[in-house]
Amino acid sequence: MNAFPPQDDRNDDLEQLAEVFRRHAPAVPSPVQWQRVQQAVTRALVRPAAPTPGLRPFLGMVAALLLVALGGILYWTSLRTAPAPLALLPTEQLPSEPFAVAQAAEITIHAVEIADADRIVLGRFLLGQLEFARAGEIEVVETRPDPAEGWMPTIAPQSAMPLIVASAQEP
Amino acid sequence: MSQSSQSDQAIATDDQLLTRFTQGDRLALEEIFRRYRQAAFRVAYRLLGNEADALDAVQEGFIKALSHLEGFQGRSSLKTWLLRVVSNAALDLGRSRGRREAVHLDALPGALHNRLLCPDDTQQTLHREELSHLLSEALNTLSPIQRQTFVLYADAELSYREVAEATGASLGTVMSRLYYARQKLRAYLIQRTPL
Repeated sequence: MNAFPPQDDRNDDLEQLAEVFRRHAPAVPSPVQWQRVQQAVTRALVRPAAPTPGLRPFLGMVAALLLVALGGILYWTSLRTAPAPLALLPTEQLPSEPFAVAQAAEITIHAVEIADADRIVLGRFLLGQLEFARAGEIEVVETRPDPAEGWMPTIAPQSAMPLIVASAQEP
Repeated sequence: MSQSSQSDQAIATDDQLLTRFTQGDRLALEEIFRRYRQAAFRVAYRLLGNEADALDAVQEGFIKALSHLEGFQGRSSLKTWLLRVVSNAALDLGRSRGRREAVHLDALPGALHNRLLCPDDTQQTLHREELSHLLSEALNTLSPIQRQTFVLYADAELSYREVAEATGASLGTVMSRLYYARQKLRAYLIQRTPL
């Protein structure tokens, strides 16, 4: 990382560029616009006021009586009716594939523990069979800069960390 | 708001405001919003390119951040946490709606376009508009993650370490992203503003 500016020292060149952006900050929204956004945030986050304390004991008593009555009805009904047989699917009709429960775009990661950072793969899916390899088992034939960010990948030949590589042959 | 509660708000720390907010204090929420809305808006605007979408991202980001405080846990500052969620909300919104520039020089109304071509007293203002547009174009040359990193550093004035916390990246990755962002921005601006 020696090629990059030292940490926490705001690099002069970068700082000048940042200053240009700060000087040309976007126009401030009007007070009416701020108020609209603030009201929406407040509506979403602040719960409406609880019922007055005077009504609370009365409402609690009514709720308790209703629960007791409902329980009694359910118990009486269960005594009079035999349990319905469970409809079971034949084994061969049970789904054998895992269900996709969410698309990647539907997931927002709010926080990740540092220790878990290397367990998360962001970006494109790794397709095909995956195999584990150690750095010594890999021969680097060619390296290219990352197309989006421009940096060059490096590999530590003595690393004891297992690597995951995509299999050359598709299953 | 009474005079005394106003002075309470002015001296309250973020931690105190958060505690009061979790106890249902509406004024604490309003103070948190007032304190960080501007930085959040600047970041969202840079990532989305127009005011309406930026305000939507700010609204969504504040709601998400403050309704998922269990993910915050005080490991970073409240500002960093809010900007992290707002900038992610802006990137999500940008992916679904696209980055829509508020001003395109080609699409300027006729009168404004003529004033650009025939500078007069408004030259200074128009120069600022033109430069703002140029900076927005330059940001478009960056990848979304580079743009997020640069904007958090430049517009929100976060330190390298805070940017790393806000983007979930390592310090080295942040430095690398800023390095390449600077290269790209400089190259674009030099190319477009020959002196």
